[in-house]
Amino acid sequence: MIAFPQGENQKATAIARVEDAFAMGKLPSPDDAARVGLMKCLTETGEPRVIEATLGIPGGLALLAEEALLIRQDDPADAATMARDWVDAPAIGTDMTMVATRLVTWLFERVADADVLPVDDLPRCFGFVRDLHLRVLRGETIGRAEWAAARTEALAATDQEGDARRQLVAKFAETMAWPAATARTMLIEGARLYGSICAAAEEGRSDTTGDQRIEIHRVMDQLFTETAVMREADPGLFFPDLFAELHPELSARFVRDLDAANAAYVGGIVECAAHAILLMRAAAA
Amino acid sequence: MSECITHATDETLEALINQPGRLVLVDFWADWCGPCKALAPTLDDIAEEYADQLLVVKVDVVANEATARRLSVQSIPLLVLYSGGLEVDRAAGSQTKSRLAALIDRHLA
Repeated sequence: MIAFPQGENQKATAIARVEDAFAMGKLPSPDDAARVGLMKCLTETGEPRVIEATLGIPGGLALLAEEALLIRQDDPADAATMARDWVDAPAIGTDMTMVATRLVTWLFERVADADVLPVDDLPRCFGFVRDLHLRVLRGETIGRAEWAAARTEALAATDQEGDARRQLVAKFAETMAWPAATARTMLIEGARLYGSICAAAEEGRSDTTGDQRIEIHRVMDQLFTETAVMREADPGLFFPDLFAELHPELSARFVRDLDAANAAYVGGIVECAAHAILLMRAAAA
Repeated sequence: MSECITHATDETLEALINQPGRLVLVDFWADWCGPCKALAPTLDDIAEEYADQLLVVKVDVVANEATARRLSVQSIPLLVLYSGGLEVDRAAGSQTKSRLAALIDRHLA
């Protein structure tokens, strides 16, 4: 997969399309008929395989960039810079075949980092799947049966795991048990799980105890049940405001923790997309 | 959308499902459904991965209300797996590629 196989004009046109779309306010939302996502901006159909066939950039990286841009759409200047950097990153004529696999192995390193998610020991399937990707990086060809076996083990580990944090790690392994070069949706699914792992780690750093968390949810559930008739009679009644008014301390703690977890989730996905840009640049070296 | 995916209507779905010995995965979706759109790239991946073993069919529930009613489609996205014309499995809501592949693999064996 060679980046911008038609040369300088093709790359310049792609960059101009992205810059023009931002200037006209058309990026980065694909959900609005009047606007487009990054992939639709770059190609007629907006499909990842078409991005690969025409621009020579792995479709999985395009899906990931599109999601990161959507997350950043409340800061158009930041999103515009990221989109331009993404299109500009692959050097003309660079072989991009291994970039997705390199991003996958980096994701495995991040998840295994004790600062990201402190678990005592990683599930066996995590190392099993990571090793398959490392073998691909070394030039080995992994057969379909070997990927399927790794996936089966990871799926079973996810279903059997009782601890929520370890289950997230097993789920990450199950999701990543595909060859990165052809599984276009694996990166975005893995990035979302990495975001969830970052959010779980953030929750672990909060000073809210497990008992406090249970109490918050108990009180919230009780209030929700007790106010069912009132809420039905007044559709304008906003439950979070009601909870804050009646239980200000619990509400403040809940909102603070939720905001922190959401920020960690978003940060995880944006971090993946930013690292993808670095790896695309590095592919030319 | 992948070239391996077929669009069906109230009139054409039955013939597509009733293929002896072939697995058919039907995705019930609508244009207004965000999770359906999020699932679309995963279905593209699956359609290409299983191109020689599985037919992936999409049915727009807004344009094909009769089918949606007849097959009790109460929420979308909904994926229904058929083998030889008979429903053998269904999965509601978003699915990862691995979970979806596991569902298909169970019926390929």
